[in-house]
Amino acid sequence: MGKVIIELQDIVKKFDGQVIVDHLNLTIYENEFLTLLGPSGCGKTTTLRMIAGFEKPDEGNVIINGKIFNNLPAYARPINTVFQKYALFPHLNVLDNVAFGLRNRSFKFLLSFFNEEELKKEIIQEKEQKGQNNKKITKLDLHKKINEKIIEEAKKSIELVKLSGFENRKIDQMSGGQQQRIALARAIVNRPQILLLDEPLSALDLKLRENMQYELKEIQRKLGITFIFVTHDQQEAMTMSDRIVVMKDGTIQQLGTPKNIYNEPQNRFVATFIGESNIIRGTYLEKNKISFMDAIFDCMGYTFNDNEPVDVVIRPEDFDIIPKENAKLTGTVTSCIFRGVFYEICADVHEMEFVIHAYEEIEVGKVIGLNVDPYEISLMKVNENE
Amino acid sequence: MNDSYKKLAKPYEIWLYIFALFPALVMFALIFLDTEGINLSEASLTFGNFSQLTESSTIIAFVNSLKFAFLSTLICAILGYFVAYRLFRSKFKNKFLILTILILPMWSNILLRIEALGNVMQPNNIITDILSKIGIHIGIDIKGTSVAVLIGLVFTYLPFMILPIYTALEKIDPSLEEASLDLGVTHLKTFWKVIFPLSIKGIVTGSIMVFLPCLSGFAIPEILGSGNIVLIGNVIDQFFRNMNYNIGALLALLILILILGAIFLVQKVDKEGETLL
Repeated sequence: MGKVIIELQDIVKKFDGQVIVDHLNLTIYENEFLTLLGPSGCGKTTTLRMIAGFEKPDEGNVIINGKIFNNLPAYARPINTVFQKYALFPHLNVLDNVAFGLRNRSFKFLLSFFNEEELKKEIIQEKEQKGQNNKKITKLDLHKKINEKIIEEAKKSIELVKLSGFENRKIDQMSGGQQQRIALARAIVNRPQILLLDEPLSALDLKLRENMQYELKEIQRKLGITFIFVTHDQQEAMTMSDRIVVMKDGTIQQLGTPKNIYNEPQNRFVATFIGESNIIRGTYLEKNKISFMDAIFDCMGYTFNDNEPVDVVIRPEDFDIIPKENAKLTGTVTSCIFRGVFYEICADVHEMEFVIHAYEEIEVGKVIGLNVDPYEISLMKVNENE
Repeated sequence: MNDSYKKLAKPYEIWLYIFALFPALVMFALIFLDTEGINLSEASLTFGNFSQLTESSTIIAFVNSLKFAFLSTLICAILGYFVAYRLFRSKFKNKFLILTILILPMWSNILLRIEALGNVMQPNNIITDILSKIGIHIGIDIKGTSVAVLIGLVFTYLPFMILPIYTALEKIDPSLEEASLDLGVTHLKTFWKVIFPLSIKGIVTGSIMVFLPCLSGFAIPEILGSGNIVLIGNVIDQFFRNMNYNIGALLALLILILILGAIFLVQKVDKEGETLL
């Protein structure tokens, strides 16, 4: 992994005495797409707002590029945000919205943003083309050039989000999906090191949302900047992220790649929040042997104490339906619903309801046998609090 | 809309016909007539009334009116914006209570308030009395000056400015300000580039609501100006008192046209009437 860009050290944030973020530690790397995932009220948006500079942590440090940023105001951070409801300026048109960030910066900032030397070179070239002998570059020349550059950059950014031709439209003449894109263009035009996205897709319909997911990922790859994405939609998180942070009650439940989190959930919350799962109490007999529901199964890759009780997680799609004569587990089908690609079967197994995904329809009332491959079984430490 | 609901507006509609539309038509007719009072028996058609418009007394009163209305609107806009902005920024929970307190004086009779204000503007009044009891001898004597009239106008119409500005400010999505800060724009610049442009609606609405009554009012200049300050409202008042209904009607209709123009302007700026409460 690349260089560390953000470090959250032991962050605590309270609102009216209520702990929203609880001793959170997180390291974020350059160029990664990190998603904060969790149900509403889990502290993900608050964490994002502390990185953006809209909230100050009560305890702990926000470290960006190795410097403590706790008290630095939002406008001084190399960070831009795409807001949940876009927060586009209704009194400006599309181009002015996108150019807003650059236009209102100081002259000094803009000189270094556009690289003063290059600006001067371009001005001299233009003067030569026009046949002017006056080689002296005035401040006015620079201002003019910078204004040109800002519009150029804004147009480039608008092109990147595929809205060319809409520059002069008013904001309220744009659809939700288009507004979403403008918000994105307005943020990336400033070339931030870090882009924060606060549930930006939640207001879009399903089809549009799926398209935007791919586009966001594509843009992130193209620009090579760190994206920190907040969502409560696990599907969204899975599709886009390099790493996912699953949060609940202000603490991190699990941090890992989408695959890692899906296949090896560390606790009941993660197992149920990300995808569907069947969770069964079992006993870790010895290395690679696990017993649950009066049967012994092979498993692999987990180490617990012998005879320690564990929670067994089996995803619905990981069950194989086999003839009941050869099966260690049998169950009676209680319902079978067509879900498009697969059938969702509910079966009563040892008085527990299992959810199974299968490609064939099975009639209700039939007794089926179930098998699970050793690598499909994931185990979690039992936590009595859950 | 359902027809049966339309009937609910009928009584007021009739009221309007009798007490607004009909008098307006009468006034319109009076402009072109020369009558003795309201007695139409010896009326004769004439355009002579219009010559009053070029009389220097009318023009002076009109210019005075515009001057006072413009100045008080400006002062109200500045003071009103400060108050509205302060209230908008305050973390106080019950902002409605503060607004109510601001409107509270409007519930007492305007003439009483102005008389009381005029009293304070004279050297001997209850406040100087009380102050002199504890050894402070100050008193002002500004009644009858244009400053007094201006103070009276601002004092009376300031709430009409605060309310629409406050409403406009409250309607600004707080995330817009965050978005601006997030884009690297400082607080002060954010105010001028985001907050202020979005609150202009409120200023325009408030300005019209202050400008119009200042332009046409006659009680405040009459009382606080002690007759020294003559505005167009006072001129109209004089003509009507002297039973010269023809010229009175002409000047009054002129003001009416100005008012209609102003309302048209508000509708252009604030299409949904958001800031009109």
